[in-house]
Amino acid sequence: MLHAVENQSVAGQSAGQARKIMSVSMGQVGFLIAQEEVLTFESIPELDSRNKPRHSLGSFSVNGQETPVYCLSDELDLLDQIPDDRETCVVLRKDNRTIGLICSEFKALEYMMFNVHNVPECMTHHKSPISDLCVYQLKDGIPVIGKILTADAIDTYIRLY
Amino acid sequence: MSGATAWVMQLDHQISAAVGQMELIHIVDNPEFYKIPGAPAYCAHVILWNNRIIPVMDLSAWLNDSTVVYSRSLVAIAVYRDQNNELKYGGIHLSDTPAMEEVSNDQACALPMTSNRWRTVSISCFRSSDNNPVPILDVPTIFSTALAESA
Repeated sequence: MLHAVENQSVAGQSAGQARKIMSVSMGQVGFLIAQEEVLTFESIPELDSRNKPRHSLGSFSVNGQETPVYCLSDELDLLDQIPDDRETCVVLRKDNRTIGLICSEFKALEYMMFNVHNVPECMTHHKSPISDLCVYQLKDGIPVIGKILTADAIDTYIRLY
Repeated sequence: MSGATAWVMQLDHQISAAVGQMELIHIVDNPEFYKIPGAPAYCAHVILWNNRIIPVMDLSAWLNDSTVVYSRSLVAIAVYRDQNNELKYGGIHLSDTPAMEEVSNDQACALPMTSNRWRTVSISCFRSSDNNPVPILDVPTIFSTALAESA
């Protein structure tokens, strides 16, 4: 079943970047993905294992486009089985392609401020699908740190895995 | 005889190291740690400090290639300039509050034999007032990719 990704109005402040962000959890770990990178969310689909790109669980068709599906562990290892706590597949746009990522939950975030920071150099030696970190505030005003995934970083991570 | 003031920090209950007086700018007691998946085990967390994201380095874990359980969450915020001469901040896990010590050249000594990794992260070493060797940390190196490359 397809879930359209709704645009959500965001009150941005001059100190930060106004972005529309989805919060996506994979097991116990939460990530942020820019809404413009998300094509759709689906229930975990029936995967075609005959068309199975390297490290993927299989693929399925989204709007007529073959979409490889991947599953990441809490430590960002690529899994070859879907853990019991995963119920959804987020489909990301990557150039003219689509990538599916199995996740547990998703929700649109309401936030006030969004400042992007590079991942510190001392943490970046290992390849990672985390493109950036960020500080954002929810409606309660308390700043928290988020981990940003991008389709581009995920695609590179999978290719180099 | 020239000298300087250093902060002597307990990295765990056995290991001490020092930084220059002006390199340690703040101590954060019991911060909220955010785990970064896939990061090296010795630098797996960041904290939020003054609206900045600060990587927290567990040097004891890196030196001994092991996991340390801290009874107290204490993080020293160090300031340094990176290779582009930009001001950066990094956190170092401590097991106790640091102490200030006057250090002179005639206290210079060899690095501790406890780990051959001291050479990577130290610029020199001195014998402290309690007669233990205390390496002086090379802060920019600690927060570069050097630790991962030599692990």
